Order: sequence, then C-alpha cells, then structure tokens
Amino acid sequence: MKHIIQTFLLLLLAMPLLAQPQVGSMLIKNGTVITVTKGTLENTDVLIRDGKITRIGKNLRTPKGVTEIDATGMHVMPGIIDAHSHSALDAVNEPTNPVTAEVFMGDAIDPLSVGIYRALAGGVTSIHAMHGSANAIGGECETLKLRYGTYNPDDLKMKGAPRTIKFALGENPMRVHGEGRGLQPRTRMGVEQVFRRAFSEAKEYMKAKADYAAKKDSDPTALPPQFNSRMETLASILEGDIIIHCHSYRADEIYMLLNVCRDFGITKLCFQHVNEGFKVAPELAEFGAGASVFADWWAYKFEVYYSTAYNAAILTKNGVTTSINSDSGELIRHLYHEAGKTQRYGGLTDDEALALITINPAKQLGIGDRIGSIEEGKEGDIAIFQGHPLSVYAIPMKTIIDGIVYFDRENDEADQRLQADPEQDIPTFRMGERGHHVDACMEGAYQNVQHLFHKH
Amino acid sequence: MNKYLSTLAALLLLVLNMQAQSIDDILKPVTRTYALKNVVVVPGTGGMIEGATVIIKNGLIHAVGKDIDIPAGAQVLETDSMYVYPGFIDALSHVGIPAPKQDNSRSRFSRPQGVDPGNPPRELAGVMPDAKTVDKLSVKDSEIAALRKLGFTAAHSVPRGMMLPGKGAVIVLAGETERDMIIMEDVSMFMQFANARGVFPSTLMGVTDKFKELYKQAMQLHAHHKAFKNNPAGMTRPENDPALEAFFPVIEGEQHIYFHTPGVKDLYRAMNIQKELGFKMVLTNVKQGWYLADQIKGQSMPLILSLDLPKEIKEKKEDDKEEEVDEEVQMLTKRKMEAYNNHLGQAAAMASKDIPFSIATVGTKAKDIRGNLNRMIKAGLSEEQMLAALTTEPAKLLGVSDLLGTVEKGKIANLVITDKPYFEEKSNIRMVIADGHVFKYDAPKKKAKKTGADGEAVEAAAVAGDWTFTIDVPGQTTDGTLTLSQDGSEVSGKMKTSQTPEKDIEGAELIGNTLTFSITTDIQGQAITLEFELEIDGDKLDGDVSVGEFGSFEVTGSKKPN
Repeated sequence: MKHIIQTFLLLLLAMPLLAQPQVGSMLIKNGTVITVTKGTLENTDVLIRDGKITRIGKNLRTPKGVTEIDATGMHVMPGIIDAHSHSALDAVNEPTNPVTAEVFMGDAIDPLSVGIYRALAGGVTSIHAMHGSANAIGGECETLKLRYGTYNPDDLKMKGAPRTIKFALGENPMRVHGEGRGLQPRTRMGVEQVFRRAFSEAKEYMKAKADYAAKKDSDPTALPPQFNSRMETLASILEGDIIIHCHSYRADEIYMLLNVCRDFGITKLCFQHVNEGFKVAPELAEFGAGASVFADWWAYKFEVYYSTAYNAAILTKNGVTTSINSDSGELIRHLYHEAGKTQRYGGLTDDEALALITINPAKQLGIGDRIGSIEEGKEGDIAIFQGHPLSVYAIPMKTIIDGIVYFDRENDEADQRLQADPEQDIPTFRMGERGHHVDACMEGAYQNVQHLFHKH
Repeated sequence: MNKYLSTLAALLLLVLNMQAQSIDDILKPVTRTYALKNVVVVPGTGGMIEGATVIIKNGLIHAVGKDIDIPAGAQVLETDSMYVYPGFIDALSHVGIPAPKQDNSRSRFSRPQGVDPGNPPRELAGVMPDAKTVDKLSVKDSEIAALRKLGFTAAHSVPRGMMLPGKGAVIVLAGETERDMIIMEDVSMFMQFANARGVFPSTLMGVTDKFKELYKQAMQLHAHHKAFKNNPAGMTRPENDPALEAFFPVIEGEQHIYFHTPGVKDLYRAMNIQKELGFKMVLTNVKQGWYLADQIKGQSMPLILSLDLPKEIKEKKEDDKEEEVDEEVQMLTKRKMEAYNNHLGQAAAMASKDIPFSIATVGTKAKDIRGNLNRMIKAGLSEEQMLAALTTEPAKLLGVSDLLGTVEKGKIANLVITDKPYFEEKSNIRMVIADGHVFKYDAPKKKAKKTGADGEAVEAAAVAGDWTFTIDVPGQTTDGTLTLSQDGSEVSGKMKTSQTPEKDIEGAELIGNTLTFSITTDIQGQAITLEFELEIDGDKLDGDVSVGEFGSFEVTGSKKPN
C-alpha cells in the first residue's frame, strides 16, 4: 500500500513536467445544440470540464470556477474537421522519389501560420495536415488540433490520433517522376507497380527483422537488417497501424488500389478527392473505404473532368463514410457552406450534411470516438454559430478546442500573427494604393508622397 | 652522433624560422618575447589590473601583473596606458574556410544529371558528417584577418554545407600554415535543417527523417563494431561507412551536436529530436531563444547566440509628427519594434535568467560585428557578461579553457589591445596578438574625426562635386541632382529631384564613405522628410532613402565629371 501511495505521489510530481496541451472548463448555456449523431437539442447546455464534454442537458448548474458562455439564440455544433489540408505546414511535397513513406509531416508543422487562425475563424478545430500528391507513396501525415498561440510545433499534434499516410494515383506522380525524370511511374499501370513493389520490399524487410528477432538470443553472431525508415513505415501499413489516405480521381484507379490493398491484407483506407467515387460507391462501401471529396471543384486537369456536385450525396446514400474537405486555405474558412451544397445537390438532411464536416472526417482519421459530435465523454471541440451553420447567413462566433476558446468573434484582434518580422514592414492597403491616384476615396491619405515619385 | 643530430635539428629550425620570417608581412618578429608595459589588464577572471605588465614568450602568456621585470631581449610594444583583453573566441563560424565560388554549378545542383534524385550520392544530399574543418582551411581566407582586426583571435570553425557539413575545429586566427592554426580538431558535429537541391532530402521533413535514420543506423553499426571487437568469430565484418562512423563519438557522448537553430521553430524541432535520440546538443546561432529560456535553463542546454541582429532601426527624432501616421501602420510598427527589441535584448534576457551563453558571428558581416556587440549591451547585457560570452564561455564549451579565454600565465598569447575600453563606442583596437603574433592597427587619422561602425579608423571619402541619382520606386523612378561641398568630414549641399524643388540637405554626416543626410520638403502644406543613407565609392553612389512609413527605396547615382 505504501508503495502504491509513493508511486501515486511520484506521478503527481511528474505531471507538470510532462508537456500537456492546456485544457479548459466551461458551460455553454442555452444554445441549440446540434449533436450531429444524436439529434438537435433546443435550449440545451453543454458542460466541458478539463477539456472533455461531461454533461449535456437543460438548466445545468454552473460548477464553481467554470466560465459560462451564453449561447442563447446560437447554434452549438461539433468543431469542424478538415480531412485534407496543407495548412500549418512549412513544406508539403518531398518530390524526389516515387516512394517517400519515410518522411513525416509532423516534422514540418508550422505553429506560426496565420492560416491556422483563419481556419479557426471558420469553426474548424482539427485538420489532417497532409503530404502532397507528387509521389505514389508520399509521407506520413499528422492530425492536428488548431491550438493557435503556441510556438511549439508538437503542441498542435492530436496526441493518440492514429498514424495516416498519403498515397497518390494518376497524373501527379506520373508527371513528376515519369515525365519529369523518366522514372517509374510513367503510366497508371506503373503507379500500381510502385505500390506492389514497395509492399513486397516491406514484407522482405519484416521477414528479415523477424528472422533476427527469432535467433538473436541463441546466436550471438546474428545481425539485424539495417534500419530503414521507409521500410519501417511501409511495414506499419501492412501491420494495420497506419490509415492510407489516397489522392485519387478516376474510378478504374480507385478500384485498382482496392485490389492492391486486398492482396496485401490492408483494410484501413480512405480516398481523397475521389471525383469519380460515385461510379464505384458500392465497391467502396463493401470494402469499408472512406471518401473525402470536394463539394464542387473539378476540371483543373484532364483526369478531373468527369465530376458531379452530387458525388458526396451519392456516396453517402450508398453507405460510404464520406467527408467534404478543403485542400485549400480559403475553402477551409467556410466548410459549412461546402457541406450545405449537398442539400442543393442531393438533398441530404441537416445531420447528413453536417456529418460530412464533423463525425465522418473524424472516423476517416480514426478519431471518431474522440471528436466529431457533441456527446458526453468526447473532447470539448465546439463551434458556435449565429444562424444555422448550413445557412448562407451563418456566422462563426466562437471556436473552442479542449474547452478553451481559440476564436472569439467579439475578441478578434486585427493583427493575429504570432510573430512579427523585426526588419520588414507590411504594406497596408493604403501603402499599396500609392501611385494609383484614381481612387478618389483615398484622397489626402497618400497623395502627398505619391507626388514625390510620380512623373507628370 | 647525438650532437650531430641536434646540430642538424638546430639548423633546420633556423631555416624554418627564416622562412617563417620572410612570410610574416605584418610584423617581422626579431624576437618572440614581447612586453606590454603600463596597461590596464581585463583578465576575464573578474576585476582589472591597472598599471600592469604582460610578458609574452614563445606564443604563450608568460607573466601578468604589477611589478614584473621585463626580460632581456623582449620587445616592448607601444601599448602605454592601453587596455588588454583576452582575445575573443568566435563560438561558431566558417572563418578560415573560403566560401565556394559563386556557382556555375548551380544548374547542376538543381537538376543533377545521371543521379537518382531519390538516392543521390551523399555529397549532393548534404550528408558529410565525416568532413573536417582541418581539411578545408586556408590561411588565405580573407575573413581571418577581418575577424582578427575586430579582436577575435580564435574560432570554432565548422565546414560549410547542407544538413551535415562535418566536424568543427578550434582554430587560432593567425599562422603561416593551415596546420599552425589548429588548436583542437573534431570538437563538434555540425547539423542544420538545410535541404538538398533537387535530390533527397529536399524538404524539412526529408532532412529530419534522414538525420534520424542516419543516427539509428549509426547506433546499429556502433553496436555491431562493439560486438565484433568482443568476439569476431563467425560474425560478419562491420561495414566500412565513414558517414555513420562519424556519429560514433556523438553516440559515445564524447562529442556534442551543434544544431543550427536560429528560429523558435528550429529550437523546438531540434529539442524534440534530441529528446527522442538522446545525444548531447548545443543550440547554435540562436536568434529567438527568449521563447524557450525556461526549457533551455531547465535542461542546462548549452547555448550559442547569434550576433546577426536585425538591421538597425534608427531612433526617431523628436520633431517627427506621430499623429500623421495612420492607426494600422502604427500598430504594425509597434509589433515590428517589439520583435526588433526582443532580438536585440535576447542576450540580456538570457543573462537575466543566469543562462550561460557564447556568441557566434556566423552570418554576421564583419562591418556589423562591433556595432552589434554594443547594441546587445545597450539592450541590457553587462559588459562583463558580454566579455564572458566572447571568451571564457566559448572556451569552456569547446573544452579549451586551459588554453584560451583569459589573460593568465600559461594561456596561449591571444590578446586584444584597445586605446579605450573595448565596449566604449569610440574605442579603437590598436593591436591584436594571436598565438603570439603581433598585429598592429593604425590610430585614427586626425583629419577623420569619426570612426566607422566597426570602430576602424576611416578617412572621410571625397564627396564634393555634382552628382546625379535615381530613386527606384517599384514601377517608376525619380531622378535628381545633388551638389555637395566638403571640408574634411563636414559636408553641406543642395538637392533637387524631378518631384521636389531645390532644398538644402540637413544633418549631413560623413563617416568613411557613408554619407547620411535628410531633406524636408513641403508638399501641399505637409512636411515630408526623406532620409538618405548613401555609400560613396569613388564617383559612384549607392544606398537608400527612407520615406517615413512608406518604406525605403534604392538610390543609385554617379558624379558628373568636372
């Protein structure tokens, strides 16, 4: 017993030393709570304690020391999750090899990116920070919580979220490596071959490691295979520890990757973009693969012409876990509009449409048990809207992560950069206008100096 | 036989000595014994000794103190009532390693021919941890003399390169041969988040992964070497891999990795990698350390601060009218100034938390070095703390405290001698002694009343005459004329541009070949001040003009022939 108490005390002492992201407590009072998974509750309170949702109900008592947020007349929904983003990153593509499974986006997180704040201002609480699509097998991605304000890249990581990796089909890897460098893959067939070879090599690597593990105790001369970071990651995919997120457009290729995964016993798979997903929706559903799509973005290259705004609805109706993503620092600010488009094109219900940007992307990232809906026991990641979030008049008011407010429209400073440049001046609108003396509204504000530099 | 040998040796020495003498063009040593009489010694161990004598013999400090007899044959140097400091140690730079020629090979780097970009030769990848400063030194590198002139007599010099440029050495900034310069080889392994061009690793995450993979492979190979040494029978011979073997001293805890971490993100990333792999690390060339002061202190992480400060922002004159600036610009300027002051105050902030640090000049132009040291002091660092960061701290960090860092008997004769205390703005370095070699610098000429930013005595350039110039504003240019007359460093004149009438220039200052002045011109009832800073080079001028909050613009021009 004494021993246990000592251990407990030691643990307590050690606690502050472990760098834990901050968590908070609050009572969000009297809002229209859109749980997404369990209906919409009018005049309902949500209690968050130490970062977790502990109670949902009417007229909850405010515990001592817990801040109240009045959400009367507001809509309270789960924080929006973007399953495809390249925000908050200092680099995106390591385009030097068709297979770069070894690189990890978690090593290139940029906590200072003001894009994080812009996403928060659109109700987004989590993003999937992905490697680019230059390579057939790109790098491992990282699931982030947008805890803006920290300087430590690691503070943004959603600890415990499953590992994910970026794959890419079609023209991007073909163009970069095939056309650009004369390497495989030069064709869509070549892309499949790159996957099959990589997984086959990983199996050999795993066998060599297993052989070594089996004989190292009995044979002092046994040597392990040389550590290979790329093979380690590929082996983890084969072992089911990593979810594949694959950039894709065409149905034939999507079906190809389903087959490759079947052949190698891989089950954790989600397609990204999937513009022709509607053609293979039953096959995706049967496999259990997810689909993360654009609402209505296509025709930016040859393989993306055959597209429809009904894609998300068709996939949803066929039982595919579907999400709508941004892949853009601009779309990420209004994913609720993007979700709303599925009501015009496909007639999805409110909950079905909102699931596309909350619980479904959470499931695709393997964190559906932690975030993506407002349920007791889940993490306190919440977006509060004025107006219904699927209305074109919706205004994000507050964005909350782990019970801490990270965006508050009523407390929105003009300059949200975490860091200013000590040497560079930022041109303001007025400074940018210098020389364009056509704007009469700006008269007097800049014309004095403009005269200095303008030839008549 | 013995006698014959020793005669031969003596002869050989004589020949070598003669050769040495003929090479040394700074001050031909008749003797290697010198005396500095009646000097103020700041020994670097605390306090100062006034009216002291310093004796240097055969490259070492032979004696320091009051009432010391000057040995017969000693040359008494002209240092009466001057100040003597320990020679400064540059905690990290590439001094002595000439920069590669500005490259015709650039295209070769961006698109390496016949190379698999995913698996390039390690020279292209930047994986050269086994490269050595020792093999790259050149006594002819101009930076040696440039740094020495400022008081630096020793440096931790690391190879140039990309992610893993190689092993650093402690060198003395004097010597006739490269070998003469070496004090200690292989003191460090240098690492930076620097990607390769067009080949793996071409990104931050590629570099991070490559570093971790190399480290883990090196650990494997290290274990293999150890096992093979214990009992080679039946075991495959370990691979000969110089890049991985270069990590062995790091793995054994004998060598620190000097991690180039200028920004706050670099600091966090390096500390996270260090936590994962567990090597000994020195945070190097740090510019934004204040964010992590508590972590650095908590982990007793050795620290080297960068001397590369943001470009100086001149303090505004009192008569500048604040209310003319719009609110947004004011707010942005405020944030910029906060960042600026944080950078300048980094050293003081660390010192106030009792975090020891050294200072590295890498990335700092020689002409800015003395000015930047003084800016750090102005921002709150004490002169004692600054001196420690330039002497005893780097000596301790690099493991050369027995040899360098103080003015004490037995240390290598590295000294800086100034006419006023070093950190006083108008002090001049009059002599530098490095490894017992004496380098003298002239006192400022009488005519030139002012000194340059590096304290070096400079003569005012000849600027009088008629000049034409062009101000380059993006998308448009403005031409002007400037008529200057000059009496020594006193300059006056008139300026006219195509947009402004002729006006007298105000507050003209000529320091060396840098001419600064302003004109205030009245446009539609509003006074606008243009501040010029021009470098005069013969009959060419080059510089910029800043126009309040509207930014600064490039100015180029030339003198009209008489």
